[in-house]
Amino acid sequence: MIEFRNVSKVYDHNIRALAGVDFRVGKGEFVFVVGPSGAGKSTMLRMVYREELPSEGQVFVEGRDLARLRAASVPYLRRGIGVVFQDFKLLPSRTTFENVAFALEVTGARSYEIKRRTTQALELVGLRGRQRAYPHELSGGEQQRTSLARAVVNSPKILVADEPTGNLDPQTGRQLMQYLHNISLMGTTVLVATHARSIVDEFQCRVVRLERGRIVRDDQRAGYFGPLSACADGEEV
Amino acid sequence: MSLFGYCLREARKSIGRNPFLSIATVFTAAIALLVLATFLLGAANLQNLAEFVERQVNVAIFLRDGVAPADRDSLKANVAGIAGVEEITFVSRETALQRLRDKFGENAALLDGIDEFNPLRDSLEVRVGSAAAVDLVAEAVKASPLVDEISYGKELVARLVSVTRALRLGILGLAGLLGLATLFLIQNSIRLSVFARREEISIMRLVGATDSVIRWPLVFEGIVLAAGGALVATLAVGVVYQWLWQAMGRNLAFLPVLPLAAVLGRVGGVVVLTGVVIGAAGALLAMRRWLRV
Ligand SMILES: Nc1ncnc2c1ncn2[C@@H]1O[C@H](COP(=O)(O)OP(=O)(O)OP(=O)(O)O)[C@@H](O)[C@H]1O
Ligand SMILES: [Mg+2]
Repeated sequence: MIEFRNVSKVYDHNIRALAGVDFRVGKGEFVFVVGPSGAGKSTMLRMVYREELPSEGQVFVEGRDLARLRAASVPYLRRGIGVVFQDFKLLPSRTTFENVAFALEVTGARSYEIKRRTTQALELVGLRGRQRAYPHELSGGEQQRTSLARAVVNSPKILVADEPTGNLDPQTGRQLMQYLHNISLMGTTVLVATHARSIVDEFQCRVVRLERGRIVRDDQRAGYFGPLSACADGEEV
Repeated sequence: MSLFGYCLREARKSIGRNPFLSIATVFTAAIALLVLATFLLGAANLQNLAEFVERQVNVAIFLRDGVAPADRDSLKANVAGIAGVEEITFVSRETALQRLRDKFGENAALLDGIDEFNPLRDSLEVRVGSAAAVDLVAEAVKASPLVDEISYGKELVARLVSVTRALRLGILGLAGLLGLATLFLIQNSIRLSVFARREEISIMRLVGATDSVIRWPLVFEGIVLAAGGALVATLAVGVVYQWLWQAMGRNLAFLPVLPLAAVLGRVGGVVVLTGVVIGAAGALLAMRRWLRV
């Protein structure tokens, strides 16, 4: 599903964010990306949805080399990849429903389709009852779930979350991670960059550790039995 | 189709979200287009005036004494063949005297006894359709031995022609400048709109909106703002023109001023079209800088 082949990234002023990263993620896998600040986690995730291109090496998504993707094809790649950020990135002047529907509207979906799928996505994150609320009327957790609903409303094959729990308290963060995890159980490949050690420990799944742009550890914890049953042990904690 | 609806809706929302900026843009566009509209109206009237004056222009070809009717007729035929000549009539010296008499009206008695030695000459009166034809006629008959003298308002016509040409050029130049100013204003407004929506646009990119979905609402917005300005300008200029026209009709009835109905359609059309083009161009220019699309 996702493959990094010897990927390096050098930003301006010779800042090396990634150095020779080799990495594969299969369909339906749930992967944590951890590491100290500045290790290159965000850089790595941004490469998946082609916000950045590698300076060296190649990134493949569903077998396509992203560096060779025409600019006009990038929007279509992104419709297959949901993205969630630490700061939610909701539009303040739109309701929960409109924020989620937005991702479908801009793809030219028909209005009954927009309605159906938006309702479904809100159902999935438990926000049906709050669909008329504006972001400022929502708790942090609800805002992040709205943003999660927006990320999955296109039924993406891949979900990328960059510190999705960074602005949430531990309990809410855990709950959100549970939602992410449920989504991976439905067959979506999920990549989560996080600092939340305790959550990573609880959800015992594949953890990729980056340090100064290199993968220093890539292991599958006890209880990891392959993609579809990923993290099964951690759920009840 | 639903995308088109989306773009329209977004443009409308974006205008509504920032009503002050939108109104300000509409009015600045209106002011620039107002000047354009004023000058277009002026140009239409000037054109009309020039045509009117040209229509008044006649050339009188005075013949020498004793020209044979046959020679006269061949000269007449020659002149009639010149482009721009609309009508040519022979006025005998007797007719000319009669006209003079008519002009004198009740004082015609003063002319009694003049018949014996009528001082007037036979002439060909030429009515021309344009000032340019005057010169052609003059050139053609100047050298003829039959012709005694040619009389026409050469000076007036020439001056009018050059003045109209200069004014038209000036108007075109000024309209161009104002168009550029409007373009700049619209560009700025759309740029602000892009800036105000940068968050939204970055999310659109993230969720897979194509460039055209990002671009079209902004283009629509530019068009709507500029066309709105154009409508305001047309309306304002129409009201003022109508008022002036009525005032002129009372006081300067001899001047041929076009009625509003005759010009508003054309001027309004040009102004709105200019607005649409400028609005779209301004939006596209603004985005070239900001969106790198
Ligand atoms: N757009 C950019 N331009 C220049 N340098 C950048 C850019 N983005 C990241 N970097 C640099 O690349 C390195 C890796 O950054 P990155 O954001 O990937 O780290 P991270 O692991 O996500 O850190 P954090 O946990 O703090 O979010 C850092 O040194 C950072 O300063
Ligand atoms: Mg980061």
